[in-house]
Amino acid sequence: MKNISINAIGAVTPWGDFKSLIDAFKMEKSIETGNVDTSSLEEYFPKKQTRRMCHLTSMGLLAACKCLNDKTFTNTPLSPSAGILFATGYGPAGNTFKYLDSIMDYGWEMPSPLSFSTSVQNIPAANIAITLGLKCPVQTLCQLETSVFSALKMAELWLKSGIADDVLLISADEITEPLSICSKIISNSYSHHSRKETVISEGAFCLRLSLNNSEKSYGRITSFRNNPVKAPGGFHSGAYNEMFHGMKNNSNIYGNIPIALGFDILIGTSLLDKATEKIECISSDHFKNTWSITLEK
Amino acid sequence: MNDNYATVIGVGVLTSLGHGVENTIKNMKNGIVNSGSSKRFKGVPFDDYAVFEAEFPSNPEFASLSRTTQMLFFCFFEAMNSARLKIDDLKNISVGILIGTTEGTALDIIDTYSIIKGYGTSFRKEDIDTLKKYLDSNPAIALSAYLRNKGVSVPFVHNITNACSSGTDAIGLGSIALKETECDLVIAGGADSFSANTFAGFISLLNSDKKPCRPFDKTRGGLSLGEGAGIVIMKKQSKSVTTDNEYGKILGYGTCGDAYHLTAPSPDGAGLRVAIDKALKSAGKGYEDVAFINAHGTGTEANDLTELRVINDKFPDTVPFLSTKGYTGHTLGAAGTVEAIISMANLKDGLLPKCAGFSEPVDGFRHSEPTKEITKINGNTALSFSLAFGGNNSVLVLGL
Repeated sequence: MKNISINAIGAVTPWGDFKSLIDAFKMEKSIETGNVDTSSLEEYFPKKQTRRMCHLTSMGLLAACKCLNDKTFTNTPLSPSAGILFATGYGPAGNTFKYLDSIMDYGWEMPSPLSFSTSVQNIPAANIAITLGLKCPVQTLCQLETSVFSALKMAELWLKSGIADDVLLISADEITEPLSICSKIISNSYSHHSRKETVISEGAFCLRLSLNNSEKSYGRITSFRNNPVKAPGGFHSGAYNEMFHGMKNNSNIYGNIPIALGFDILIGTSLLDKATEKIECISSDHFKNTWSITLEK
Repeated sequence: MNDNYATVIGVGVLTSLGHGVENTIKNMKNGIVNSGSSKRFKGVPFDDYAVFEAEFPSNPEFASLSRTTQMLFFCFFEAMNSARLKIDDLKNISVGILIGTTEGTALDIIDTYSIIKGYGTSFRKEDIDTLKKYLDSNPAIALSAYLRNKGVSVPFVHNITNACSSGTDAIGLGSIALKETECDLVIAGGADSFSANTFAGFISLLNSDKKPCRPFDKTRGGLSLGEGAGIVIMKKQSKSVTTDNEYGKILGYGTCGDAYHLTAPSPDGAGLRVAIDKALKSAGKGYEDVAFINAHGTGTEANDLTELRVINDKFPDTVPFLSTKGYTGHTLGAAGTVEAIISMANLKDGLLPKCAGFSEPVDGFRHSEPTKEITKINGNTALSFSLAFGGNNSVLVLGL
């Protein structure tokens, strides 16, 4: 396969940005709260422009802005043939629950049209495209723990076929109280004991991808594999790094989030050096199939 | 024609017209429109609006899954039968899966949600059955899990949620995946049941017609929701999957977002124009090659006028166009697949049905009349448009 180059990265995590995430990883910290602050979006847009944006979209947009301003690639404008892929485990869950609230509060006759329209899964991606002014292919993939793997495979397809030559892969998931409650019950009730204590979290990241291997790139995705290993016992919706010393679960860094594979890739890029030439990032789905990508310098 | 096309070797389709492509086409030619007030959702405001509900036999093996995913499996097995394939035939090849949906991934869990609001953290394990069903029912993942359990190699699974263009995107990208990846076969399609939440949501947007929808008609009153599913099984021309079935070809695909408005298309159809250009270019075809257009044609003012502007600007008046939503309703994430299957069957048949619901043309356009009667097709290339929430536009080039 042609390698996919990760040219720029932006992230919004409970720790802060991409650098803060890596710092937390290197200092072997564990998150205590999974919430993300998006107030720094004001550095990129007037508050008025984003005031109606939902939290999920704000996280995705902020990650995209950080990626587009990543110092490694700042002077490289987006290609006229750019495209946006949006990967999410649950989609705009917050707006969906607001819509359900409006049904419960006002009945079937008077639900909120705004909450309904913004609960549609592709609206966050469309909103980001509108805000960034990008008339381009825009696609959303919503499939729980396999969303990031799917979006990376789709990015490969877009790049190889010429649908886009410069892909912004944006991924986000948000904390909602209903899903948090359900997640705890699932963790406690369905034998996923090792994840019982994992903090439910939220966040977003953006990878700028192309087929061109730049010396400045963070790394390359060199292979995709299905079921390279059996899902470890108790492992459900996180991701693992398969490093030289075996598997390492990083969910104490980024928490319990369906797009965990993406955060493992972010952490993986920081580990690539002469001594660590290859990292395997593995995610497990709801049916215990594993999905793996290989990261190389 | 370029040599990168994908050959469709099996199809499954389910709408309010019934199931099976031959049955669907026969019913359209006979002018059958199975629409009325919902049998599943009663009371105010639902009783006032026409919908197009599908009926299909329940399969106990999938009864615990969502209605959307049950419809998907129904069409999957129909497509396998039409391709004369058995699951065992898939075991020594690699099969890619791309499924478009909206409802299939919507957190449509109002039962669970209302319990959460009532009980908070004293929630019980058995109260999360709705959510568990949601987790088990992600359409593409559920289909891939089923095939994996049968020993089929599935190298990629895409659950595409691009609103109403999802089914078109699934087929278009699936056809490209056959060229660009090692997979031997692609199963692509779309599925969407319609729910009370979606029904109420569209009514709240004030863009739903109380009568069955009337695409491109001067008196149109908005869209009518439908439900359904469609599956196409595709192989690359050079691949060695042995079957002599051929329902049509996916010749090209193009997609482009408007970056204009969250719920309305750009009035000048900017993104649609780009998507058409890209689709035709990828197929190695020109505007002069187009024998007919299956427009998105929802029956909303914003959609229909945008499409009429683009059709008038880009195509000769001799190119017939229609919307088939007057027969099926708007099946959302399934619509693109359902309409691609219908369009390929129309090409094969050489005849287009009349555009159900249309009677009086919109003012201000040179070419504003969709098909008013069964119309002969001159040519073997068709376009199918899908316009979606978020301003997404996707186009398929279909051939024989």
